[in-house]
Amino acid sequence: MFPIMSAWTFAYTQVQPNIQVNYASIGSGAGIAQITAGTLNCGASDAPLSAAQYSALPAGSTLLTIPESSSAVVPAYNIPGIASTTHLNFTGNVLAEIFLGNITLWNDPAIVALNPHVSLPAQAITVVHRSDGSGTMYTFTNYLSDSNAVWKTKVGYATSVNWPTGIGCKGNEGVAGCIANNQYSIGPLEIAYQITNPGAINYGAVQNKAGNYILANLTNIAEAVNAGVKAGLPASNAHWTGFSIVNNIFNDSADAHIYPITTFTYLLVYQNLSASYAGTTQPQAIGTVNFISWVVNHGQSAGVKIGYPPLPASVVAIDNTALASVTYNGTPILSGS
Amino acid sequence: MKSMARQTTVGTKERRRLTNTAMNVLVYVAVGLALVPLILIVADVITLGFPALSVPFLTGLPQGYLLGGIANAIQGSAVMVALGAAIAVPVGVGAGIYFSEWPESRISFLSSFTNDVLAEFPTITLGIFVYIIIVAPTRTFSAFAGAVALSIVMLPIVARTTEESLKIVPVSLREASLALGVPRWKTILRIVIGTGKSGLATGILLAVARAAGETAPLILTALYSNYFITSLFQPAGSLPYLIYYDGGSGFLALQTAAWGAALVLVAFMLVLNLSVKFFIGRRFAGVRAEI
Amino acid sequence: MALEAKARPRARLSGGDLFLRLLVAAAAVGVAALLVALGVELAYNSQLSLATYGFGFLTGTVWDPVHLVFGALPFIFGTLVTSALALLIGIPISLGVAIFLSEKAKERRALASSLGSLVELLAAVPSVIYGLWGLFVLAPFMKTYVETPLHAYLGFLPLFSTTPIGTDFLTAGVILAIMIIPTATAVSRDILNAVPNSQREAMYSLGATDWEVTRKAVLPYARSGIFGATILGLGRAVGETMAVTMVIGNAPVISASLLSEGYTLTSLIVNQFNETTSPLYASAMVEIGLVLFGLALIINLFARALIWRMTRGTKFRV
Repeated sequence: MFPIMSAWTFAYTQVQPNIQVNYASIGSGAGIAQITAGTLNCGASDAPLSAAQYSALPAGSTLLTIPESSSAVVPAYNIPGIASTTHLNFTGNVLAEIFLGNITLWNDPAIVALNPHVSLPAQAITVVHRSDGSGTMYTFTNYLSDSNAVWKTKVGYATSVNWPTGIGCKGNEGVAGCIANNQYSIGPLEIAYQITNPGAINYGAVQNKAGNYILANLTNIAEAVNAGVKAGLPASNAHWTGFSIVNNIFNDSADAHIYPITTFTYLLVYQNLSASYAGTTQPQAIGTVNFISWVVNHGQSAGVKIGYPPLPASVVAIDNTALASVTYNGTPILSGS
Repeated sequence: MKSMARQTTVGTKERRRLTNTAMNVLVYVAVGLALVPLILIVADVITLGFPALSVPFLTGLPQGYLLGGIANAIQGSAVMVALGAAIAVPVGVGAGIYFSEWPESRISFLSSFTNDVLAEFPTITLGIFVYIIIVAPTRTFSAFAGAVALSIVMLPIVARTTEESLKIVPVSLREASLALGVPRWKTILRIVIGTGKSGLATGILLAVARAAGETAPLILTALYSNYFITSLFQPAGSLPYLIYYDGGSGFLALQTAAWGAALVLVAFMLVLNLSVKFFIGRRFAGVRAEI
Repeated sequence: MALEAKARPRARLSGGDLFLRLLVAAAAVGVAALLVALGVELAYNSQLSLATYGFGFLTGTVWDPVHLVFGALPFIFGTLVTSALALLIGIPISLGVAIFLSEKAKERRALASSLGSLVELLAAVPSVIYGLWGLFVLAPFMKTYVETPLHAYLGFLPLFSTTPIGTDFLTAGVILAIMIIPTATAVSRDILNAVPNSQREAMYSLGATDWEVTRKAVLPYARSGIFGATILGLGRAVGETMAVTMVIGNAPVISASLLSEGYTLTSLIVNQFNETTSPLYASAMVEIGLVLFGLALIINLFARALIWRMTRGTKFRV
């Protein structure tokens, strides 16, 4: 989330020079943990809270889950000798087998079968994943769980899992760095990190239920989001456990061009703010809500260049309702909304 | 018999000389092996970090994933180290005085021993400690928590060097002062500390050098900030954290920033350590510039 | 040592004396209390984890935050393996440098002094910069020039059986070795200097070569002190965090292969402490800190005791 958050915080400083939004890129697991501990004003995460995490929240508090952008997780790889214009094809099952450690060579028949026109090297695959808790990993392992029964039972999906193989790198930035530094490696990466860092890293296309190999771009990510919210969203102050665009669209074969590994990114903020959360002062509370409101309503174009399509109007409306309900010491912050 | 004995002696002498030469070579190899990493690291930091240096780099703020500045990290480090020293120096000097002037007491022995253990301790555990006692109750990562963590890092170094430098002050000086009727507490404060002043300064400089390079405790206490410090009870940036984070990121611009920050930090360290050596003529027996 | 009993005043005890004494005594007690408080807080906050996993925490091999199964063995393994490597590589080098500085450079004082300073400058480099250098310079070098040949020619040995990746136990061990050299050298040099010259002179008078003097007169005398220096280096290696985290690969693997990625106690804390999303996870994290505390405490106490025994009665304090 770092690229879009840094784009937003930077842009917002131009709009509101007195407000400093400090984004510490520490992974969704940390975002959830720290908002629970009350050490941050606002948490950001690519994964909704689990049931256990909701129960760990302070008593009497209500956490709002506010989707503020959407993004895609792509299988990024570093294979010298393959042109940057060539994008490898993957299926969810093959990806699961790679990350399970069952497929160990790039020229494994399973991969070759999906890429008959590419000359794949006989090199060992170095698997890269996050060492910290991550919504990106949540989304990716969600997709792997849906695609492969063994992965589902053996590993499951969460922000932090017990990876069967591979090296751990900290942050999306770390994964990007590790892939760039290790030839013949593969790792799940938020698409923004590949766009801002083309160089050695390329990414592949993933097969969706309709059978098409989709190379993630703004259009097919946006279509995936639209398809994913067709069945509706939970209320902002309700539990979002189990809400997953990946799950919603996994069996959708009607939409031929949706990108299957898509997720919302969420901002997490308490509905009833007060000093008991990170010592939040009123100006901080007002600033936080105003920032989120700006992001949802005015900041969406900032992400377009780096792979974050704008939110659908329906989601924007839901978010605005949610923000209007935020209070500080009982008083609504956004008056007249 | 005689000729056989002579032959054996000559053979053995040859072997012994060869062994000696071989060992000499090995010793020189060891010295080379020890120095090569140092030369490489310094060379790499300079060559990779120098391109990043510029006035905007040293005075500006980070700009997302583009090459921005590190001024907030420099400020954060400076503030937290200074605050940490403000806490650690009085306590450390006090403890050092006690170790030196009342060495016979049991507290002195136990505490001095504990002090040495603390000096070598994994600093990440100190980070957990300060997280538990400060960050969790105050519900925020903060520069203050970071400073406290750094003060615990600095404390044993200050205490140890204080003790060492005071112990070296000649007994005769103390005796003369007491013989003149100066009360003991004044003797300690004026005469003993006055004479051992340079040693104390050494200790403080060494402690500062150590604390400025610490990363692990800051990750759990001060976290990070992309802005200048406005409140001690908010997260704060620091050079070591920036190096860690930017270095591990996949963004070339940020990696360059990491090397630049590393150059700034190493330069600071070297200046500190060299000035310690320059101002203190002879080496302190047993005092290490340990980081 | 420096102060003898006769310097203590026997006459009137002024209020100022008492006040100062109490004040500085409090500071001294504070230092000791700090270590105790550290242990207490770690133990107290690990309670949940201790109760849930018991002794099995130390022997469990799975670290799974999803299913809340936590075992520390992979990290203890990683810490011990990288530290052992560090000692294996670093101590002989340190000893060599210490012998050079103490025995060989006796005549060339300026050379010894400047070399000694240079090695000490190694200690002035912060851990995170070692990590940065390790990540971008050492790891690729190790992978291409050391690990790939090792794997190619000696890959049949379990020791080199996994695919070289650069960020693994071996590289972590090498970088730790570099980091403990300054400490171990300095301590060893002082230990060697503490050996009385009479020992050396006796050997020389018997016609021994330099090396024989070192080997037969100096080293045996300094044995326990050097052992103490080794243990001190071990303590340093065990507690090292940033440099290791950046080059070890961060995967909880127990493997016979040095070329495998791994994880250490310190790296785990750095990577996951801020991420704990449930009280049990958080408690397990603190318990890892407790294990590290215990390990470091035992090692440091042992080292201190050894060195104290060696340098007792001399003016050297390490």
